[in-house]
Amino acid sequence: MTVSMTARKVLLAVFLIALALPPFLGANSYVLQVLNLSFIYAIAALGITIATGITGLIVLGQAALMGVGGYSTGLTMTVLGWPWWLAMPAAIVITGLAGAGLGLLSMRIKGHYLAITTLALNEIFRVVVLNESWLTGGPFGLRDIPVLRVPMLGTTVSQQLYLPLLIIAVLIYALAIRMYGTTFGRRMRAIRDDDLAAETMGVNSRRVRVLAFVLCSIAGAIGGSLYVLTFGFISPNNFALFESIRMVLMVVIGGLGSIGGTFLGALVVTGLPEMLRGIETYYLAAFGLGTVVILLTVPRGMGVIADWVLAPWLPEARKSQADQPVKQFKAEDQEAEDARAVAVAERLRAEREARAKSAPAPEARGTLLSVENASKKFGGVVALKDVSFTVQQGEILGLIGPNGSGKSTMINAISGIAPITSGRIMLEGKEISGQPAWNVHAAGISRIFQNVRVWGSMTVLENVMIAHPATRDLDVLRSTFGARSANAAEDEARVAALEALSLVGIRHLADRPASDLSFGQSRLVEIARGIVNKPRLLLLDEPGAGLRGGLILELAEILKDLRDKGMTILVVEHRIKLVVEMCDRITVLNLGEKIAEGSAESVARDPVVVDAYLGGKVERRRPAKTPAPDMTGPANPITN
Amino acid sequence: MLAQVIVSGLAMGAIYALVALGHAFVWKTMNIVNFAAGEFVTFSAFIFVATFINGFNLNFLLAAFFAAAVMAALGAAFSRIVFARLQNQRVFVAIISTVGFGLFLKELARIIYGPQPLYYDGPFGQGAVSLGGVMITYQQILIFGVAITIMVGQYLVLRYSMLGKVMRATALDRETAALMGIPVNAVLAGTFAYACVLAAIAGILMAPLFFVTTEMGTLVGLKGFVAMIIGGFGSIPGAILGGLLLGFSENTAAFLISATYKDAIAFLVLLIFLVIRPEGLIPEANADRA
Repeated sequence: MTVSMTARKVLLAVFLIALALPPFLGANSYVLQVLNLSFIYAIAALGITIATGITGLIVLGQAALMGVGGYSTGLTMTVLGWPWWLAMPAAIVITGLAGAGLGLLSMRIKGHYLAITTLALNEIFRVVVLNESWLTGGPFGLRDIPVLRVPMLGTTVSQQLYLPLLIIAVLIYALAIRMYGTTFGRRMRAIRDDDLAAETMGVNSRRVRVLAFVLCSIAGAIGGSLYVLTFGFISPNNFALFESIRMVLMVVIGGLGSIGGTFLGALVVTGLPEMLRGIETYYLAAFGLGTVVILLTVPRGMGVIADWVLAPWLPEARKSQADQPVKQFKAEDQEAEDARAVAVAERLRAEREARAKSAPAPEARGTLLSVENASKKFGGVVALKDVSFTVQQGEILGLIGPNGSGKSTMINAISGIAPITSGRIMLEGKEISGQPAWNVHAAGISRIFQNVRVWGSMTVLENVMIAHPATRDLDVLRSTFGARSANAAEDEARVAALEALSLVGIRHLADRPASDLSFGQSRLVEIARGIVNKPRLLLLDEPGAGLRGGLILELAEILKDLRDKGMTILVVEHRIKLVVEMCDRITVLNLGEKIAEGSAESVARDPVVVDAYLGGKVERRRPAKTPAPDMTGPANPITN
Repeated sequence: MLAQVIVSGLAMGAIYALVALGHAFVWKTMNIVNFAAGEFVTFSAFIFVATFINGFNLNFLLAAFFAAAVMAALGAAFSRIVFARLQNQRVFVAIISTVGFGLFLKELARIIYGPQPLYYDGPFGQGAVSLGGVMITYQQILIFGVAITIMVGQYLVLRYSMLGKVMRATALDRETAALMGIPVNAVLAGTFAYACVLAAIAGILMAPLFFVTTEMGTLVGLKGFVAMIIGGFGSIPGAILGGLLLGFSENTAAFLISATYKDAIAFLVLLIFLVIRPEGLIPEANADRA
């Protein structure tokens, strides 16, 4: 069943209007207070969705951040006598700084360490607030903080604040959704799905992580501030560890990573216990068990509903997931896929031949990349030993060698994810070794991985757009608030990404979630992602691994096409046939050392190379007359 | 007075060490940290005191045995039903799931046993012996005795028995272990059950030190995890060392600096370690990347 996007917009409008009605329908203060509370928690819990759900950084201490915001607001208002409109921004700044500190900490610690650290900080916060009663009022908390008053909206505080709180919550959610779909949101999701791939594709993971924590804290601070301004009272118990876990519950029930779902989750976790007063003994146990069951069986939780309604504002991945069950790649698709690959290969070959007739390919000019005495040690293991070689402008250089010879290590070293221990790597005279991977990418080196690493939860288009330089340096504020230049950059990246997808022949898959693709299709997405920024040097780590006939053909044609367009390529490959067919020169590594260099022909004749592949000395009676080993024959060990 | 403080700190440290050992075993075999460990401690203390001691009027040994058996069964079931499914989940999903299960277990204890704190005297009462001017309670002696017995026994089993070899093989390389005919799933469930028995013993030994409440285990579980981190993520001797060190420094610092900040001290120690020596005292090869 498809419901048009307009219908969904209407549904959302109806939902929001219904949510705005209670104070006008004479709902009593108690009901309004519960709803007010759930709006406040919806805002604070959104922080967890941003940090944990979208960026994958686990935060189990959100209540403490909320508490920092709450106490900052309360103290500046009571002690310094500031008005709320000064106290609240101050609280946001203070908490944001705390979040930035936490973000810097998350550079060093991840996963379990981050979980226990955020829990620990929550507990430390509670103990400090409890004990420093000269400032915080200790266990009795802060009392008699002036609450917000909007007399024209009703008589009681809960009536007066109902609409303002709802509107603030809706606005913050709208901003979050906007951020989710633009460049910063893409970068956050890429880090969650695969941070290594994100870094090599130009995502500055440090900056994104710190900012994710800052946003998380800001959401907490706004929630804490509003809590104080609504209730006029806070105590350490409002921000204990248990409150953090309750907010995590909201996020999980709303479907981890779903923004709209978090809102529903907050309504349920705050409202349901109040509605089920009679069985309150059981609801926490049910929530605890529910968390496990939801995560293991329906991980999208209430996000299924929320994302369906919000589809007009979400990237395509969620739209298609919400509309149709995830489509698995089936065997019968394989033949169609093969036929498509062959067709693309044919087209590219025809184009290339046409070009060759009109203008011959340009000659190689100068050195692009030079690796100088590079060594890499993993503990006691020497993976690369004093390797030096160069890559010339416009050539395809093959890097071959038996298993364990250091080829992948070399690629990782160049792309900046496994820095070399000594020596240096220069790109056009500028040193790139020692730079973080995203700077290497910005300098013009792109890569694909041996085992495909696409970001599964994002669409194919989004996967490719991330690597485009136009949106790389857009900050979260400009992209979220939709400055004109930011929108133009988004459009530019989208157009370039679609072009790259057309080149590799999978434009029709642009709106599909990357997790739905076959292995071969994912590899093509990686290639599109690798070339969308028009890199000076493209590193390919076994691009042919796991591909079938038609796709191999297509791959070879794509690479030649790229070379003709002036791209320099360094390729690690095991299929010697592919190497010989497309490489201009070959460098051979064995046990971390360079053992040969030269044309495919000369390398294949080199006895040292043959020995390396065969694993020992080969008896050669008449070396001068021995023909070059048949590199394409099935019996030759090199090809196997 | 300081000696007194150190002894009671070490007694608490032995309890952290038991919990930390459970964390280390589970991490070594399943690469997940069980954030519900503290609630297993709580639950076992309730079963032990409320059901087997007060309910069935069993003596200490029998009650402890049954409580440990129930926790082992619960642990094995949880491992098979929930924990095994968390293996192929992302880290933060696995962590949140165990946090959720902890909440469930804590609330379950409250539903079954009620919110009133329970008091338990301990098998030997609240007496103490004086050793060179330092008073050591019977319960502390029991804690040290049990902890040492378990650690020595566990070392011997792991080192010399077939069961130990099977567990170590599974921890090192699960696929190869399965190919060699080791019933990997049973070993994993067994390991988790053993971690739960350790938690149960911690709960039983703690019961006379404090009132038995639904909150009693939460911090102990987290501090056990802290102990494992400062000892070396996944390291067995590290867990023991980390636990003792944590108990010692917590009590000593509380005595010398501020008693009101006692619960925060363990976490400060954690933060210090994460900055200075994130790999822990006795680093482990397959530790989680900090």
